[in-house]
Amino acid sequence: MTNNDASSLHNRLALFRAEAGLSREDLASQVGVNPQTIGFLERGQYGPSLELGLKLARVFGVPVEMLFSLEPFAPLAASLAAPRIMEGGR
Amino acid sequence: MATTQVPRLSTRKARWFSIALALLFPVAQIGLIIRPWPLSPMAEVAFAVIFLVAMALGLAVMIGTPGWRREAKGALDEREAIETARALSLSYRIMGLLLMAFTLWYGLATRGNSLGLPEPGTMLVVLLLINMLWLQLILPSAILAWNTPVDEED
Repeated sequence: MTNNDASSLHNRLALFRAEAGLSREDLASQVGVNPQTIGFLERGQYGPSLELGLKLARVFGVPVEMLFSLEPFAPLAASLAAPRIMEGGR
Repeated sequence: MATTQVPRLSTRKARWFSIALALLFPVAQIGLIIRPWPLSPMAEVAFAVIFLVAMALGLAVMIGTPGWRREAKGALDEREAIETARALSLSYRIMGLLLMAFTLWYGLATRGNSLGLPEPGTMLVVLLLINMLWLQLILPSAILAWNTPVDEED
């Protein structure tokens, strides 16, 4: 495996990339890596260096912890529903 | 000065080439060097062709993948550089163990040989050294090809 000790690192790279309408090649060229590396990152098969993590976050204009986390991210549906549930409860 | 980079083999091709090499190279050696039975001229030509094909595959893997070949600065991204370093490190250990085994065998077999080991005749020693030479040229690339998951875009 190519795992760079990334077993506990979770990311939302695929989600952000899809939302930005970027292909793997586009994103790879913006951060200076091989497009395959983006695929490995998205599948959690490789943990990026701090530099690469920061570069990726900069592309999407978000803090790095929105993109990568040591804890699993909440499912998107649950994240979207949470504010509505809170509003409905008021 | 601008340098021309040799195109890289895909992971799939590197895997197939390394398998073919591992099969063809021993076959060629049996036919051309060991010669356990008399060969017709046609068979000799066939074994020579197999040997040339094996050499070509070996060179393609060696030149076409990161590993033994020297990469230009910045040619590998951080993941590829880490994978290449791991493959080289593992190859170094494997070759070290093989050299240790070779030295041990040679030492024991030429000093009394109480264990009944194969006699280290010139032919056998040369054959083993040729194989070790090829192995150390191909091993980093083969390890890299088999350790890297085949990407869907590969």
